[in-house]
Amino acid sequence: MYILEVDNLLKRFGGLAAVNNVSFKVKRGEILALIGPNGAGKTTCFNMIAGAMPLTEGRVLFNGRNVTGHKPYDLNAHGMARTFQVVKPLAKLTVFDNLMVACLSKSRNIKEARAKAGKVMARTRLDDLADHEAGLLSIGNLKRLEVARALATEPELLLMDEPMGGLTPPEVDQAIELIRDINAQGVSIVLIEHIMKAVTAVADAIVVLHNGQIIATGAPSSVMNDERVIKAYLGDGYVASR
Amino acid sequence: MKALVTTLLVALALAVLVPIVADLHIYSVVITVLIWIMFGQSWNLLGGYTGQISFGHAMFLGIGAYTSMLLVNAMNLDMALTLLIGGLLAGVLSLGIGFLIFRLKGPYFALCTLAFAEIIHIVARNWKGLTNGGEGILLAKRPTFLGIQIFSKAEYFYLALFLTAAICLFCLYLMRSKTGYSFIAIREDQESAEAMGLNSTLIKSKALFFSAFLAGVAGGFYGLYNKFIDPEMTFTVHMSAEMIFVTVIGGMGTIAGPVLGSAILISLQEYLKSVAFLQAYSSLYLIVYGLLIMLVVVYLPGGVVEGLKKIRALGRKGG
Repeated sequence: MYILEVDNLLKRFGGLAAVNNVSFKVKRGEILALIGPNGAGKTTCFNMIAGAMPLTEGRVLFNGRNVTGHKPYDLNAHGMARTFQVVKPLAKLTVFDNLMVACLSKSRNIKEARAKAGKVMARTRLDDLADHEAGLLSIGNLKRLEVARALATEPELLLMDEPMGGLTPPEVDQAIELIRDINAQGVSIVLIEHIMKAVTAVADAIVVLHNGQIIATGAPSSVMNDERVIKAYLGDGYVASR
Repeated sequence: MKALVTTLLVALALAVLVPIVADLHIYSVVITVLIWIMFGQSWNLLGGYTGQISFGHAMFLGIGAYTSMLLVNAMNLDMALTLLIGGLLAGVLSLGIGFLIFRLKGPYFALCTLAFAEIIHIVARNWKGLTNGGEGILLAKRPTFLGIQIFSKAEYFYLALFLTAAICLFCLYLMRSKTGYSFIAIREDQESAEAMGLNSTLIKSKALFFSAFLAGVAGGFYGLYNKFIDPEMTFTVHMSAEMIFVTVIGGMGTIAGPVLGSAILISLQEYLKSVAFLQAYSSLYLIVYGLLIMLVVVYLPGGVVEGLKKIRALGRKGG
């Protein structure tokens, strides 16, 4: 039933516990949002789950299998993909070739990968930019390329780290639509995002981190009205706009 | 397809034209260019396409050169076999070295390759029972390639041309395969590539193996063509640096780069050696050569290939 189970995650940098005793579960087909102020430990959590950073303590189960400490490529092979907060395009390659790299990890040959890359480009509306050098794209298009590359690896679970950071309001609306579409295809999602409009629009459940610890968890309606969350993250202005 | 046809046409043109105009000196220059194209393509696979800069590639060249020379002298084996064995030995050595140093990145990786090359250089100088130390080894037999005796300059020219074309086509094929895409992905962003399912250590090991294999094959030819090898003409930093120069000047991460780089640099060397003023002072030509390389690196960091692309783009705009 759970695609991802995070159990007592701890990350210490010297004497500082950047992530402290964090546990949560993601149901298959669910969108779970991980929110909190800057420095709360959200990306550190992602990095540990995705195998990009070693854990100090804790354990990560993916599809019921203990994958603690597994390498990113191994997790990807088993169906977990991620996007990066600071975009990481293969800058000198075209958009199409960026997707080819991703598609080839799950394809038998170049022909099959080409066909897949074409489909993913159409799905993420990148087809007009196929021949553009990735390093020269706008931030909006780079964020879409991040998502497209992750999708091209055919994940069951997608970890999205601030996919809407730096986007214009119309681009945010498109990104929300894209996330819903991806989820509708059966992909479970863990989303880090600061744009509350987007979080409330797509999330089935929310986990709030503050100073490396979980301060609230539950359905969006209850979490957004939690006084601790308002005080630590959303602020009084958010109360006024509810 | 275009690159394949171009490679074959250039090889065919050289095969027809060079024997018409060549004297012994021209044959020597052309064969030297072809040898450096092979070395350049070898370094380019690892440094240009995969982004792992090696300062010690001469160790693979040397392994190939000594392997071929020793096998021909001791057993009179066919060159096709000795080049293959030399390449494989260099490849196997590269896997051991890669296992030890692929956890290092950037300058640390580059310096470790230099250190390993120097270790092997010292071993080659001192293991007299195998390498005859600094006195080197002379070719004692007339080698054959697939049963055909290779001895005259013309015969070496055709073999060099065949091997160079084969190596260029191999690199073309490799870089259009799944493996080639993975090399470039690692060069562009290792973290991103791993997130897309690529095992960076495995991919870098593959790149190093193929690169060392080609250096070993080319090194085998280089030794037999010169009919003599010693540690100074095989394992030195100078040889590694020259491999980098021909690739960087031509254009890293392109098949045409080492071809153009070798043609330009070897021709330039020959020209500078022939200038009377420079002849008066031993090795002065090397200073001029070095200055010219610095100018190209500063003003044309993408190499001659990038320069040609810019000219073409300007031509299009003008047209």
